[in-house]
Amino acid sequence: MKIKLLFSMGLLISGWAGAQTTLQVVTQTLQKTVPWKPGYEVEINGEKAEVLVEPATGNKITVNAELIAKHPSLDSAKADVKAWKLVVSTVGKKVYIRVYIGLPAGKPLPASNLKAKITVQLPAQCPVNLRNKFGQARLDGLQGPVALDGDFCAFSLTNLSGKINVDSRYGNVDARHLDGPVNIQVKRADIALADLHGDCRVTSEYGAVRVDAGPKTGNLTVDATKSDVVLDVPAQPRHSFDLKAGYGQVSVPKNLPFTTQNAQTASWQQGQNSPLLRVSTSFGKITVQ
Amino acid sequence: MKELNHTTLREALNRLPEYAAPEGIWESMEPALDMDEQLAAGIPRLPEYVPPASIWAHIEAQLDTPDTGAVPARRQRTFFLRPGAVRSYSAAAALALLLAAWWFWRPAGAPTTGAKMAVTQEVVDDQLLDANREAEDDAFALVRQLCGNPSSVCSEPEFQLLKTELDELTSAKSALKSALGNFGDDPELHAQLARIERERSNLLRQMMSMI
Repeated sequence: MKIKLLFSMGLLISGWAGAQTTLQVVTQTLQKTVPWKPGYEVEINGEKAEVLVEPATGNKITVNAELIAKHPSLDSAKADVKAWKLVVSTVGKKVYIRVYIGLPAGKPLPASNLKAKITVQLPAQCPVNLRNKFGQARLDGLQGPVALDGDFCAFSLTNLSGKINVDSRYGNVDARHLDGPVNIQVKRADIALADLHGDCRVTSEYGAVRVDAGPKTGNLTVDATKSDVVLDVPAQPRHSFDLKAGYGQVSVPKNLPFTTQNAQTASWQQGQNSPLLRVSTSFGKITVQ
Repeated sequence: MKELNHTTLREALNRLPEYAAPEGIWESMEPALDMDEQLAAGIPRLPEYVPPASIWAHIEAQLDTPDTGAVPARRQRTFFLRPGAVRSYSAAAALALLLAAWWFWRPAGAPTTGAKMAVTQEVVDDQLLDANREAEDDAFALVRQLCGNPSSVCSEPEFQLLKTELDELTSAKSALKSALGNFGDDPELHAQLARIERERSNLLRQMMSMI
């Protein structure tokens, strides 16, 4: 009886622990450096990549790459890591950085889980154009204009002072401490923005939008479809508000003098020169808190 | 010369339109970049040949010969090459020009440093890997089957809108599953997959309620 009980407990514990698979992880690391001159811009094109772009001193662009293949079989992982290609080349005034899975014609896709981790260090004022699929991109401390495009790529942007343009499908955008004008378009993903110092325009479809509209935030325009929008504002906001939720609902703090004609609209005009928070959504809620 | 209309010229330059590269530029550049890499890697490996020592003695002897003004018969002959030889020299010259042009226009590829390979192990919960291998719910097939036949519900505009949305999400799910593969363990991508699946289920519920 005692043995049966112990056996049952053992089964139960193994069930809780769950089965696990050990993957062999083959990582190829390498570095490439190209010279940079004022007027040059960078074009980063990634696939299954985690990209970090950060400023560095000196007139050069350095790319550190970890190209990874994971598979239960070590031989397969070793063979598949060779499918990774990293190209860093200068054509005219553009520095192209491309990390991709390059296969000869007719060769089957690698069975391993492939992932690349790329760190790009460049002069802070260098404009950056980035396109990535199935991964992440983090940009921090840059001063030049930034244009980002992603599919299934989560973007994290901090301390950027140039013009920012983001177009993301199925990838969340999280941004804070932005000085320049911002334009973000997102589909089926969430947006969270905080500490904006300039004007900002957001277009969202099927995602949640959250903006911390502090005293330094400029004009904000949110055009959303089937998205809920939350505006976090200080106790005494300096902005004017124009809020419309078609087939939805607007919720505003009761202690602030909003004009509400019905449940779908609310506005508050503070003065001619106060920046405007204009939010429009359909089939979603707008909450000011 | 001093530019008198510097400001106007600068403003005009700033107003010049900007053009983005076309969508398929990488696909078209890829073979060229690969070829450039192969050529750049191959050129240093080309063999070097030293001319035989006798060549210098021969040139020296010719230099020492006093110039009488008369053109030697052998030198005269070299101006009248056979048609076949002309073609060979033309081809060689064209090849040399092409190589020079490639060398001049080639993209400046960055040299690789510090390349090394490492092997480690990683234990992954099967629950995470299995999430990508889950079979499709039969109800989705039912919708496809229904809309395969002429049906009053499928032709309704509201149903069609939902179906278009469902097809878009199904296509995104397929792309994501393909990217994750059998051993994909990226939590962000798995979270996105779960979100797509939730949205698909929500759409499916709406569509089924209309059938």
